[in-house]
Amino acid sequence: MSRSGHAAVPYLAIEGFVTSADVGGIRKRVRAFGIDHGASAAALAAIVLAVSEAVANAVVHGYDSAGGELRVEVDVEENELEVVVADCGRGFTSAPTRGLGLGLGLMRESAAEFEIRDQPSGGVEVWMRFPLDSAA
Amino acid sequence: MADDEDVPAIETPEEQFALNETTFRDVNEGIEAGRREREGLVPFVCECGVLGCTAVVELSLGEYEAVRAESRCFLVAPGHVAEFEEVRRTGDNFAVIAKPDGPLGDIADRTDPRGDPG
Repeated sequence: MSRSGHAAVPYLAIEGFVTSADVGGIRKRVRAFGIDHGASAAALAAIVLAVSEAVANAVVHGYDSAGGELRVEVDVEENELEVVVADCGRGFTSAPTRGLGLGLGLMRESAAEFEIRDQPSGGVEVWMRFPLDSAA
Repeated sequence: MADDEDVPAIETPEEQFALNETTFRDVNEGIEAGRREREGLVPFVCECGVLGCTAVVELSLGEYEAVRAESRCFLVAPGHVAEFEEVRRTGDNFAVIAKPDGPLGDIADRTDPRGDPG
């Protein structure tokens, strides 16, 4: 999927109401995008794992497993793939939720760079960057 | 993704515990880097080495930076202190622990993202 104004940059956008049942479909679309743009097997594995965790985290922790509005944006620049997973949920709070730390740890271990960005409107934005040619 | 050469060889459960702590330290560095609102309390994940830990601790960015000033110091929820760790600070909201000299301290030093790469 292309976005106006980003013609020169390969770009994938997935946006809408997402539940846990949609995680697999999003994972497949991001994986296909990575394959189309030359991601190595190791890079693909890392990308797919991290995106799955980020989307699942948003559904489970941002929306208390009920699902909600989610935006996934993926682009490729200079042989690196960047992913943003943003929700409008309750944000990153001190209320304990099962598996939160483990999911964040997996994302961090998978990505070359990783940030969790607070959003003024609420919710959480996870930004990750992956070299497309990384080796296992 | 971490290069294999950056990942210390693990020989004991305590070393695996320490390596887990460094992963959560990296997560918190990502939280700090992405923080747009610089005032007030910021939620960070507990850096104790228990993989199932779900605790989130809140502190100011100034307090967080004070923890990060030493590569062997980690931020944990109150009570999440292992017996082989030294407690540097305890409070209502969080505690600061330090890895001891030896293999555990070495793991903390070698994996510190702010450390000297040379």
